[in-house]
Amino acid sequence: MEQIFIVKGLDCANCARLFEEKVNKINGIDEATMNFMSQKLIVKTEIDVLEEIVKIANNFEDVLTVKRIK
Amino acid sequence: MTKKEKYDIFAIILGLLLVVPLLFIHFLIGDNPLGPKDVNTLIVLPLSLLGYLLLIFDFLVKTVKNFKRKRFFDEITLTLIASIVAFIVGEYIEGLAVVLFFQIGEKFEDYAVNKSRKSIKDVLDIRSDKATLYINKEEKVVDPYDVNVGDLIIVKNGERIPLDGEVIEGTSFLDTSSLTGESIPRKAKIGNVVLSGVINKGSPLIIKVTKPFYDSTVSKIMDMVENATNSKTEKEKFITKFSKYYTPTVLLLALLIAIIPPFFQDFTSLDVWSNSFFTAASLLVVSCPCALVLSVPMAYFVGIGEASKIKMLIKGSSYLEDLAKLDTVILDKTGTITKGNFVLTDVIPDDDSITKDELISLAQIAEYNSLHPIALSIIGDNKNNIDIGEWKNEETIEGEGIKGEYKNKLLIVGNSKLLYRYRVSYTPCNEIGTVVYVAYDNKFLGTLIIKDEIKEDSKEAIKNLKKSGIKNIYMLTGDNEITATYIANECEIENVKANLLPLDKVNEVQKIIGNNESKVIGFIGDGVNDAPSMAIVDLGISMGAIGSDAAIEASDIVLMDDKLSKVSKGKRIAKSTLMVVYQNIIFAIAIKFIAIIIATINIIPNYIMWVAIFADVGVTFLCVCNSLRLMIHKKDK
Repeated sequence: MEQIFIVKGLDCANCARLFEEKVNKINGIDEATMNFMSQKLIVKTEIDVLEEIVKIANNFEDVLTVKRIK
Repeated sequence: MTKKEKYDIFAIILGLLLVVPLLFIHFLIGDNPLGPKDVNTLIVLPLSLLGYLLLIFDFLVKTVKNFKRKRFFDEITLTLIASIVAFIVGEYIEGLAVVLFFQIGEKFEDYAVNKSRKSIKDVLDIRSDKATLYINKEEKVVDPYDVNVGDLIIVKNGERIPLDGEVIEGTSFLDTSSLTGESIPRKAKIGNVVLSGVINKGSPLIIKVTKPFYDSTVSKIMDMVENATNSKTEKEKFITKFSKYYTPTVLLLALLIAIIPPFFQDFTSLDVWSNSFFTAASLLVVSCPCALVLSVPMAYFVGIGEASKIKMLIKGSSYLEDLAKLDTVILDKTGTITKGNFVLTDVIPDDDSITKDELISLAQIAEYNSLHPIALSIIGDNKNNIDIGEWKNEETIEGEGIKGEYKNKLLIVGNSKLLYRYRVSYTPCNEIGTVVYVAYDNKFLGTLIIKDEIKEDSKEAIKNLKKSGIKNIYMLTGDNEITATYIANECEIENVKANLLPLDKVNEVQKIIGNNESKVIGFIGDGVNDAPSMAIVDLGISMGAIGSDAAIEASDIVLMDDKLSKVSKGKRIAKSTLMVVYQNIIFAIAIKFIAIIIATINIIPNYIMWVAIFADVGVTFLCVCNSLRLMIHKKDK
């Protein structure tokens, strides 16, 4: 199943890459791709991961907002 | 502008105003043996420090936060360390310059990213942010997300239709140019299906919603482009991997350079140590892979955005790459090269035993139930006057025609294959067009000729395809040889296959794939009937498919309008995008590599920090500008 999140507030493309790396480490996620330009995080997973992602986002930068759209 | 942004800009401008004169002072007096030390401590240090302290606030806050989160190698932290080292070893101007140019780089990146994001949104975001519900003759404005299937909405003159639906009241004209590029308004009346995104240009329409907002045409289009860059191309994956190892490697090198060389020189000398640390600090500045990590995805993003401006929707960066390399194109004839508007142009009775009108009437009876474009052209607007009371046992033979019994005798209407099947001898017709033979009671009666027109831009489009580097062009059609050859000659297409049944088409495509040494094979068609062919080629391009989910699903690239000429234009955009990507990768890696070598062999120790600043901010700036260059349009020829 594919879940899509809008992640706003990432400072730079390299930060987006690091963020993607962190999200990929969540248990139960097959693959996560963070697109800096479109601000979308696409996650392939069978479980609900919003909470975990929000946790990572809060630890990552102060101003990150995460919203699930699909 | 927020207060924070105003402050940042103030600090940057002040920093620039300080750096420039300071460099002058440094070059004029700095090397003067009479007292460079004094100039340095009395003028350069305080002024640099002033600019530095104004700029450094953000760095400090973020570094503290990063340390709390155990992120020690963030670019901000590294830049801060580099600047502090520069001040400690007495290179004040460099200390200021590092943070100053870093800030300028950040601001520029923000600007560029926002600009390219906005550029796509402006063109494509034709989603409405409100819908007007129509309940018991009363209107209520709501969020389109809150409208349910089956609800009634009202759309007035000048308003955009927010959700897909069906007109249940009113007659009007719709401007569909945002979806299809078609500038002539389209009529809408009761019973018509209307798509979201089009603008009502006449009296109010009441529409029954048939799709929720997130499934409506406009959302689909927006999604397609916004999600296009999600699947990463090989080049993007390479960059991600590269960045992962690049930063730690450079940092390790910096550490080695800071510690090892002094032991080979005079390790009790403070000068030796400060030289060594300064060089290491410059490597910290080079260690950020930003130029690459930003500019490559950005180029794809801008490229796909530019393509969408010419109404070409590309579903992914990898398809953009395929498009750039496209060298073989298989075209469907009907609807792609021709308009797909069939018109009955000629009626030829075989002898005097039957009149033209009688011949047409017979054909109309047989075609009455068919929805095939050919049948529709034979029936025209006479549907209500056709009496099919004595028409029975109808059967459609795919790719051939229709047979049945009229007044208990066999009536067949179709092509030569059908007549051959029933052993009816006939007079072959060599007219250009689709030929339909009519036979009744085993006697051949006459021929109907149906013609389709070549689209205005087809000839030019095929010429341009060839110019754009497409070596092989094939045309496939179910039509007869004569018509196919005629169209192919008109459009200068060398390879033609005619008389193909739908299944034959797929086999033919398979054959082309097998025989060909092409890099990328594309199929251009309507997306509905050609879905199987599109699935087996590298690049499926559908045209005029807006409104059909299946067609959009089946293709990799969707042309919102049905202009074949967009393919070569799109190819040009794809090519320049790919070029920018290559340039950025090579340029950024090369400059960083050179900077690292210069630092390692320590040939210009005094200027190494400037080299580092260029390798970081300068390269990012140039690569991002290079990506933004795709937005600049040369005048179309």
